[in-house]
Amino acid sequence: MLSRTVDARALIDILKEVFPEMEPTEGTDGWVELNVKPSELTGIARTLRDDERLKFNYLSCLSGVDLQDKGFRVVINLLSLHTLAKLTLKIDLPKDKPVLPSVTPIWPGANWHEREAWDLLGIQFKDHPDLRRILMKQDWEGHPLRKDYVDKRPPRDTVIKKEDYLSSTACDRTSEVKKVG
Amino acid sequence: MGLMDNERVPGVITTNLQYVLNWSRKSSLWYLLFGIACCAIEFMAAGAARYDLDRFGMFYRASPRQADLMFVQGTVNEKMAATVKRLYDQMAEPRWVIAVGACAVSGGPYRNAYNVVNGVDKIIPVDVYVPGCPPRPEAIYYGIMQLQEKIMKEGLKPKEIV
Repeated sequence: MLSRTVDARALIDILKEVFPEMEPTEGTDGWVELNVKPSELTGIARTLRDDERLKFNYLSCLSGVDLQDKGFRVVINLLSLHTLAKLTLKIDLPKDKPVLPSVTPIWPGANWHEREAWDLLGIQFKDHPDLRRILMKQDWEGHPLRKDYVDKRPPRDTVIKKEDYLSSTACDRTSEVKKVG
Repeated sequence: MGLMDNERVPGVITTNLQYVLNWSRKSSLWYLLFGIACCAIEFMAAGAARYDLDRFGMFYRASPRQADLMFVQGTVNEKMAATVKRLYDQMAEPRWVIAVGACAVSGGPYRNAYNVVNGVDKIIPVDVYVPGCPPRPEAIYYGIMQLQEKIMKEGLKPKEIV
């Protein structure tokens, strides 16, 4: 059973050696957090994967966050299968233009995660091999998980019929049509 | 009529064709290997060792052409709705549908959300609804047994194509 050979403090020291200008901090539950600018992401990601001391070869998760006025954020969770070290990358993006390079060429497991972030939040990933909607239909307009998303479809009728109710109290209502937005 | 009524000639059973046909159909319902979301996990538990589906004569078929029962379990997206309809169309008569779980019955906890169809009966005709989120295996079995009673009451005339 592989045990964790590089814990959070050791990882912070190694990261300070490899990236002198970055400031890694320790988050909760043993995760080390690193703030990255979108323009430097590809270089840093490649070093994280290939460097002998780091070897972050497994991308656990890539999620998008809608911070409303502060813009968007992409959070990448990485794991090293050699040392079991855990790392979180946070990339802050402006609200009007959430664009960042894709990490799919480096970690192919990010493919569908990035498609989901594009589909539901509208975060664009440059150089993604196949950036299209994954959950919604292809002709859907809008990005549903944004905080300011409004469902523009026409409201659906919900007809409550008298005979659908089993209890006697509800039998007072006759057929009523309720529009649900 | 009782099956073993014939006492004059031992080993001979007299019955009617409707009874035998319905009995054979309800005792060997081969269901389509198809599960959309969390209710499918509960169904897998219902089919596993503790609650065994094989003792009902039910066995999964991967192809809808060979299946006569379709369990729709889980939330039906608008993207998945086209697939569900296509699979139902590919099944041969006689075919039945059981809607398992609140999402398949009426949209469930995601009713009126974006991208959710409010119940699979908006797309295909459903015979038995099993409510629950998720329904326990015992509840799914109750639904299956209700379907078996429904099958026993069927006539010999084939149903009209909806």
